[in-house]
Amino acid sequence: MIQLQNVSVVKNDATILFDLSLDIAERRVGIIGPNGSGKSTFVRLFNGLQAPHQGVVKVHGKTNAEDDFRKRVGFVFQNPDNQIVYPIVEEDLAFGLKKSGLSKPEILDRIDCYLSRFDLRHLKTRFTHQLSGGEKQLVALIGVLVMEPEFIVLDEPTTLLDLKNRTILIRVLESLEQNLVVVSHDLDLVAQLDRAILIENGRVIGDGKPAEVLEIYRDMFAC
Amino acid sequence: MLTGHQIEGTVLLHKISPGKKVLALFVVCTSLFVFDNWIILLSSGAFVCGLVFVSRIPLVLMYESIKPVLVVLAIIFIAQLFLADFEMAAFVTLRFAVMICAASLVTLTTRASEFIEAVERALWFVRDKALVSKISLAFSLCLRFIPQVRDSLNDVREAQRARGLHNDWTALAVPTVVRTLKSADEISEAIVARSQKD
Repeated sequence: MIQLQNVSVVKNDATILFDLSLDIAERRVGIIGPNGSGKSTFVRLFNGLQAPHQGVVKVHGKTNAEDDFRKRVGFVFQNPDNQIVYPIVEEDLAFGLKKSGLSKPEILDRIDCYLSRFDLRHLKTRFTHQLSGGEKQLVALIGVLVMEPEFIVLDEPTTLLDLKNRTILIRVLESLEQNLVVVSHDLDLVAQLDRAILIENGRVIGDGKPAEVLEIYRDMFAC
Repeated sequence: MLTGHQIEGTVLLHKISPGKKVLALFVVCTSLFVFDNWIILLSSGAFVCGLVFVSRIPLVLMYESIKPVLVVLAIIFIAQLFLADFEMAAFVTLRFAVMICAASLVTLTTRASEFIEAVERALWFVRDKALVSKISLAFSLCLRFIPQVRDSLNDVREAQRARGLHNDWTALAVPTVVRTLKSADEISEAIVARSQKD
C-alpha cells in the first residue's frame, strides 16, 4: 500500500501539491487532471524522484527517507526514448539488473524470461533507436518489470501510441500482477481501472470509482 | 566515428576484445603520423578496406560514418592546397579519412556493452566503484543518444524548412539544444529511477 500523510510539495516558491493525505491500496489506480495540475509531481513522490517538502510518503510501511524505498516502485516515463539508456535492447534491459548485484547468467535468464512472456524475444538484439514507438514503450516497461517492483507507476503510457500499440500495451498492463498507478489523459483507459483520483491545482478534487470521478472531470469542462 | 550502429557478426574483428581494438587503432593512427610516407598510408588504407570487406560491413554504413566529416576533410584539403601543394593536400586528407574509417570499423564491430566493460576494466586502479560506474554510464549514453540527437536535429531542420527558414542556423540550433537539454533532464531522472540509487 502507498500512503501519503500531509504531503506538500513546493517548487520555485510555488506550491504544487497541498497537504495531501490518502492511501492507495487498489491494484490499478488512475490519476487524471488537467495539464499542470500536479499529477506527475504526485506520482514522482512514490519512488522518491520528488521529495515531499512536508509530510511523509510510505510504500508498504517504508518511508521515503529509508534506503530501499525506491526499489519497491518502478517508474515508466512518458517518452521511452528518454528512458532507454543503452543502444541494444538486451543491454538496456540489463542496466538496472547489473546494479542489483545479480550474476551475468541470472541477468540473461531474467531478460529472456520477460521478453518471452510478452512474445518480444525477436527484439533482443535490435538497436533501441530503430524500434517503433510501441516497441520502445514495451521495452521501457520491460526494463522496469525485470526489476520486479511491487508497484509500477506509468506516466501517460499511451500518449505517443497509435491504436494498435495502445491495445497491445493495455493488454500487457492487464496481465501484470503488480499494483499499477497510471497517470493518463486516456479516459477510456482510466475507466477500466479500479479507482481514479482527480487532481486540480495540487488538490484532490475527486477520488473513487472511475465512472464517478470521470463524470466530475467531464463536468469541469462542460460548456 | 560514433554513429550509434553496431553490426553483429562472428568474424575475427567481432571476437577481438574492445581494448585490443582500441590499442590497435591507436597504433595505426600513431604510425600514420610517425611514418610520413605514401607506402605506409596506402597500405594502411588497403588494410582498413580489407577489414571492412572481411567484416562484411555494408559500404553504406561506412559512408554514413564518414559523411558528417566530409566538410571538415574538404576544408583540410583546401587549406593544405593553399599552404602546401596538391600532393600534400591529398596526403593529409587521405590520412584523416583512413583514421576515421579505422575508428568507424572499431565502433561498428563492437557492442556498446563490450565498450563499457572495457572502460570499466581500464579503470581498475580507481578505487571509487561508483565513479567508475558513472564514467562508464557516460560512455554508454554517448553511444545511445548520438542517433537521438541526430534525429532531433533532422526533425527541427524539417520543421524550419516547412516554415521557410532554410539556412537559418539559429532557428536550427536553438530548438535542438533546448530539446536535447529537456531530454537530458528526463534521462537523468530515468537513470535514477532505474538504478534505484541516487
